[in-house]
Amino acid sequence: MSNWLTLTTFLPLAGVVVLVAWPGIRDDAARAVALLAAVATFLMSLAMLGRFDNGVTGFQLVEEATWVDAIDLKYLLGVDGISLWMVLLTTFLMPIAILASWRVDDRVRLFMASMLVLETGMIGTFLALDLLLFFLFFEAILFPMYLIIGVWGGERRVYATVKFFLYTMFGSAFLLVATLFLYAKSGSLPGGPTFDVRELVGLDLAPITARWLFVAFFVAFAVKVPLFPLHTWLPDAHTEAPTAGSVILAAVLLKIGAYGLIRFNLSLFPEASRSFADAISVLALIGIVYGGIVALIQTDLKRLVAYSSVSHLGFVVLGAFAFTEQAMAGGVLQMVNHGLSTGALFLLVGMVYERTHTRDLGRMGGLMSVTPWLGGTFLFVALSSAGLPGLNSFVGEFLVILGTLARNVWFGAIAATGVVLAAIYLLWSYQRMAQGPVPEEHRHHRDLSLREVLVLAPVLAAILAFGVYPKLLLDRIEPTTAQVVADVEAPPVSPPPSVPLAEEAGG
Amino acid sequence: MTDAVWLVPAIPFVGFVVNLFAGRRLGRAAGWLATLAVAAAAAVAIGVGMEVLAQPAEERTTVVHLFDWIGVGAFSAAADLRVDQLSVLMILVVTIVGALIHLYAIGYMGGDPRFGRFFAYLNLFVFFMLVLVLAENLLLLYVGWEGVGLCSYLLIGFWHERTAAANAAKKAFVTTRIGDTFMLVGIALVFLRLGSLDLSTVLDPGIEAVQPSGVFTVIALLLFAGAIGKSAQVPLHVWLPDAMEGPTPVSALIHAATMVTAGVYLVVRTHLFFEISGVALVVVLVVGLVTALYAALSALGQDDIKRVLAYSTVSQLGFMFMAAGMRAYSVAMFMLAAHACYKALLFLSAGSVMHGTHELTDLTRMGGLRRRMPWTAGVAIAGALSLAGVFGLAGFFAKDEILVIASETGRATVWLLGTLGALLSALYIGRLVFLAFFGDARSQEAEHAHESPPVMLAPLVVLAAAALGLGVLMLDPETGLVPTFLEPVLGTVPHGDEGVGTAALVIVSQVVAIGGLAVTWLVYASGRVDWLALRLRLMPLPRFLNRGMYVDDVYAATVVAPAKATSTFLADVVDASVVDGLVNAVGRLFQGLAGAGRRVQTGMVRTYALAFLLGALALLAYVGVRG
Repeated sequence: MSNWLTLTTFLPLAGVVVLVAWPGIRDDAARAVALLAAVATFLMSLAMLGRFDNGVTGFQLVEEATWVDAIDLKYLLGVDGISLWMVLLTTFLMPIAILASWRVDDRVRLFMASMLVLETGMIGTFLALDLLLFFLFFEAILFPMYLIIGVWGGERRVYATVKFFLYTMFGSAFLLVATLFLYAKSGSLPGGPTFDVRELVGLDLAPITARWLFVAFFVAFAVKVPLFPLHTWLPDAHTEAPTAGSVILAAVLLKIGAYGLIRFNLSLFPEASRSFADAISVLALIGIVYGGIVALIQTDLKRLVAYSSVSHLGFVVLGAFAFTEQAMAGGVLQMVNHGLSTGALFLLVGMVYERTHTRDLGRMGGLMSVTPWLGGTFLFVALSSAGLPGLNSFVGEFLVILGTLARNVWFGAIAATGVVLAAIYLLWSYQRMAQGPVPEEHRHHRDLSLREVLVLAPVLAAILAFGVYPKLLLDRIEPTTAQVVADVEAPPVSPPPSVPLAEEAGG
Repeated sequence: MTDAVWLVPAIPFVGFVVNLFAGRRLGRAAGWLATLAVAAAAAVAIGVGMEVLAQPAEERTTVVHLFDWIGVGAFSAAADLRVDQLSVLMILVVTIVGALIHLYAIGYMGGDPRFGRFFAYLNLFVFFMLVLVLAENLLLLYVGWEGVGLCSYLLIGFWHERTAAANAAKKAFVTTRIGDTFMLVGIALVFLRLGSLDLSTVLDPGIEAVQPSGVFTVIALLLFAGAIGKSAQVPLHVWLPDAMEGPTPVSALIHAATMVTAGVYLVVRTHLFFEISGVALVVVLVVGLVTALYAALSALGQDDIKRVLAYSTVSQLGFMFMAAGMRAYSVAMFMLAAHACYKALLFLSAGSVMHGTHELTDLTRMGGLRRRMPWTAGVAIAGALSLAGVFGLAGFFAKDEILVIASETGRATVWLLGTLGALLSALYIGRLVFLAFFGDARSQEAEHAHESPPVMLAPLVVLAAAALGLGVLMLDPETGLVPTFLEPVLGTVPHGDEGVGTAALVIVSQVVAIGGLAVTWLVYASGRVDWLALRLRLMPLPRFLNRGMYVDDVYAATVVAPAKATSTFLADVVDASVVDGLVNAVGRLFQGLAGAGRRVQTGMVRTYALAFLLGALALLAYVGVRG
């Protein structure tokens, strides 16, 4: 068998087929089918991991076939050290999200089918090496996501979906136009016109053209990240989405933005990437600080976590545009770690909500006394998100700060302030939720159920494991990210003369 | 044995895991298990120490490789443990004092509903503290550094139903994290400028040639910022007095004996950077001196017995930094060890008082406790005499040596202010002892006080013996046991021939110490002074000192309030109106253009998505045909 990627990508659809073809399927059976499909997909992706060769820098396990010859559209999948972990993050969290949605009892079949279609879309997005194929997967994600927020969401779900839709359409339009433009230009390549990313890299573009294209791709992906000031859809989408929607949105969908920046912006337009690097880094820094400051006063737990995502994703973009090995690898690592930590945070927020029926921190309190395991788990995940060393997020954040300092001392120093802000808003939210006296209406909640423990345990284990032994990921990420940095051909990152540094810091 | 040094942190970690998951079922055994774990770690530490001693002085540094932790490109950080004289001294202090405090806590925390959880956290703390002092790699040191901060947070807020405890815990974590973040940037710069994070590499004297001294100044000051936070030095000292919300064994272990000394350890460990810089050493000296005086003054104004001790700790840490700032590293380390004993002793005595008086902490309501709690009174007096620096006791050999060095090296101002600090120390500790244990009982609780159980008193007696006798390790700054042991790592204690002779200095210091104690006896215990009236007459000075000179209030007005206002402004105005307002306006524009304002509410998304996909396909087809 050699088509591991295809199998991983489309295995969830097998679950959809079962759901569609089984008339009158009971809700429990529908849940079980979805869970089974998602677990099978995870196992398949583990097999993919097993076939992955650390030593190879380019794409591996490539599958190539002509699809629509008239427009040179290829069915082209491949995996490298970056997409590998994005796929695994997706397949790892999907069964967990499905298990966490066990209590969804409205149109269960449609919900589960949407989740599985979503999974195929996300995996395909990470594996597609043909730009048009990427775009199709990219768009295919949106429809199930609209459904999940729009049908099973909260009170203001319509507002949130429309906003999500407008933002994304805005970005997609840019992406499509740029893709087609690039295709039109690709006729000059030796192999003729193509959407094949591996070949498009060799395209010789006039600098000004490359910059416009860069901007078009950038807008599409910056909305997804989301990068300041394109972030305001996120708090609304998160607030209204059901738990599984928030988990997948935060853990995987946001990563598509950062992934797109690294995969397409950096590799297709290296020169433009260099010239925009400082401006983008500044936006990322604003996101880090601004997201953190705005998170400080949020009273809605989901909005708070949403703004923390804006802050944390700033680290990823900063790392991607610092053009040093450490920052780039740290950024990719942070993508995985943010997925785990924030995914877990949303799982916990959902569990808290099921008990308290509120997300308003002002109406909570004392959970640590009533449900100590739930409270303790929340604290554990919050500390991971706040970058406590020994847990996962610290490693990525530190590498980003280190790699950014190498390029620009002030960028690195400003990024570091995000670490302080994270401690404040996360501990403050924990305090209002879990500490202090117990309000009367919260005296009788039950602690974590067995299902909830099963949902959380794998994520907690990963959070700890990747903090203590990040080499597991880094060994596979590093060859790829080192190559990406080399390809951008950044100016040498040797330290600037050190005397000015001392003077700057002293002054 | 040295290769098995990983057992020292590993055993308490196992204790943590067991107690975390099975603590409730274990009942009282949880406490014994935790104590045993730390005692076992202490036994291994002693074994390692003996083996290190058996080796020739120059071959006492061993690095034990555990596993590779992080590696990207040229950067790598391994989980390696460093065994040398300095880390051996630290693990001995941490495990031995730690074991005694664990033992005490079995009695003190008896009956607490979260007994098992308490000991789990306590063991976790010991684990992280040992990682901190054993780390060969600065980033691993930082793991321990943040880890002890976490445990401090968990234990200050142990009684989390109390809002004050939760607030204090958060304040401690956030305040120290400000310093830690500077330190993290400093660690990153160590790698970027010096090429490694391994202590063996960057603490090589040859490193001086790698970069100009300005770089070392920046690095040293950034690291010192971390030390300022962790060791509660001015201006980041504000969290420590509030940290007294935690159970008293926590105050003794974390906020007196071990964690807060991590900053001193860090400076001493990386003293090479400070020495190459020169400027950084002066900063350390000045910060230490200012803190020593500020905190000693503030301690005088406290009525809460634990807050007196908290400010006292801040002040004593200042003395340790003064020693480090004058290159007397082994003196700083000796004071660290001695302070761990007598301050833990004082805190645990205070805990014993609280235990016997229904949680009484107000000194003005105590009095006469020595009659009902003779053991507690006896050991507390021993600790107080040692802290005050009475001749021959451990505290004397620590503090006095610092003042002697200041005088000998021609730092007359430092000597003078340091002596003032010593006087203030004698005053506040004398005030504490005489208010608590002498005179007549001033409340019901004090009248009906009862002595604590043996499980609490036994550790107190051991610590009292150390507080009195530990000076034998430091009889002479050159030939004493501690300085000679540490010399290969920390160099010799500097000496000069300025100032008056040592004998004269000792006489001055004894006049200060005993005179200070005598004055407090006269005011608080002789019955000849109405100290409550005196206090009223001196107002507002006592209140000024009681509030720690209003530093907290200044921070609230200048840092916290503006930060909250900024946050509110950004969230409610900028994000909600400006950024989001723009998006909503665009959205309304689209709706208006579509001319389907109402239909939008229901079908817009699906319609548009479909239209969009169809449009995309049409475009594709078009391009395909043309291409």
